[in-house]
Amino acid sequence: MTQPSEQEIIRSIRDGDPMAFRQVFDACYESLCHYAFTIVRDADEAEDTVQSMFLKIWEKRSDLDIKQSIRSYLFRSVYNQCMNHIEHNTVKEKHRNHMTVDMSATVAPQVFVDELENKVREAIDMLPPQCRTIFLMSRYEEMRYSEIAAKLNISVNTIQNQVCKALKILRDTLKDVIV
Amino acid sequence: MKINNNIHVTDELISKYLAGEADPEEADALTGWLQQQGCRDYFEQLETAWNKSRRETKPSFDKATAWNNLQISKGAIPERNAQSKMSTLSPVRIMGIAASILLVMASIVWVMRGTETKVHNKTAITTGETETISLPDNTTVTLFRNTAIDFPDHFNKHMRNVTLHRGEAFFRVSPDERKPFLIHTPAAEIRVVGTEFNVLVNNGNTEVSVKEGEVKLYTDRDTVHLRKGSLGKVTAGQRAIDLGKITDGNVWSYATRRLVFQDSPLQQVILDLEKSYQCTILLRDKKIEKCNFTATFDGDDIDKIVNLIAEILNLTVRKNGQTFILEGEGCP
Repeated sequence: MTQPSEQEIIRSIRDGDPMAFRQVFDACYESLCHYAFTIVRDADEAEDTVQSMFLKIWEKRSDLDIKQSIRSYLFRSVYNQCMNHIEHNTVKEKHRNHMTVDMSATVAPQVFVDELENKVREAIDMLPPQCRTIFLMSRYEEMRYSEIAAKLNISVNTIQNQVCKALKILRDTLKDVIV
Repeated sequence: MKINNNIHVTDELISKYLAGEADPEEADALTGWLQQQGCRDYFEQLETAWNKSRRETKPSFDKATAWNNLQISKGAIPERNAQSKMSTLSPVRIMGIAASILLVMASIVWVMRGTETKVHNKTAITTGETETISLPDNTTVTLFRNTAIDFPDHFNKHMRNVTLHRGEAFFRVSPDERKPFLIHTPAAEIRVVGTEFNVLVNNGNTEVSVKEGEVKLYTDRDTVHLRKGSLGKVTAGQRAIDLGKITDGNVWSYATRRLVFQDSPLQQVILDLEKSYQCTILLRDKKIEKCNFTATFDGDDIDKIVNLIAEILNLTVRKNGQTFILEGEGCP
């Protein structure tokens, strides 16, 4: 059997074929959820976003018009939805404040911390000061790169490099523990 | 590093993705890149570092559950087209890269079961005795002997998911239309809104008997609606579901403690009693097996039941621990 082209699949969905729709769903759902999760930081919310996007596509299938690949179209839609979600979510703000407080808690001794987590925590403490600040803002305060950039008055590019640098250092720490 | 959609996957891109900063084209490229040999390991090292830096584990997303959620609670998408054939489901037809992505996604779903930061899974295991447990939504589950079930300490807002690994269980699901109740078994999945039914998991097979209401039983390739009084059976390795009527009306008696016998062969009566009560019943004489028996018991204790049977069939009872021995002339 030859694989149908993207346009054939799009046509089938437009014609209301639930199997074609499910194929796309199955192929992309989990990747899209993981992507949405990186942005909204809440698994339920991520699933909600992706599911309601699929539902919307199905409901408006007769107008479906995708010029590029289906995957890029879906990733783009999920991104837009997540951004809307972030903009409109005041709850998130509260959550964020809560998280800032939480930061100190992670330093406090914990009963069931595994060795890995100890190492990571030590490694975070050892990061160069600017790198550490930026990493903590991204990771714990859940600030977006643009927000961090504005707050610290540095470029988004710098943020990107510093987060990457932090992550690589942490990864190397983990490697030693795992091996 | 490889190039995908003209986007270079670099450490910067991976960390951007993890930090939720990747734009959709980058995320698409990254998930495509992940299918390549070795790339996933590399990604996971960074991902682990990211997760561990805040005691997080990766969330798991289940497409089958999600699809059913879309189908059932929103009722929007039909199961299958009248004219579309089974073969259209074949993964071969999945667009382009999809098949390999599924593989990748399946293997990425690693650590998170039971270790999610928010939800903790509990496991209830019975050995010698039948036990009834309550789930967070007030659903009760009576677990037959040698049964294992997993359930979370609280259900998420979309679904009530439990996993029956082995054994047999009788469910009284508390109704909640907005939150379908889903039972995973090795061979199939069972979906309900609120009803009573029995699930038997045996050698990888799954058998569902419905006492009240309606449940939906499905495998990768087949879906059936089971109504009150019907039975659906999924055999390991086969995807089609066998349908039938419940012949043993006492299949869930171990949970309800209600036994109905209507001119039932004594052998069957004994099997049902031994299942519901922790006891052994022996017949001294072959001729006793020929007897039939009619009665209804509702929450009675086993001594009373056995004595009543003996009285009606003109037998004598000897009891030795949990073993009853029936003696007598029997039936012609």
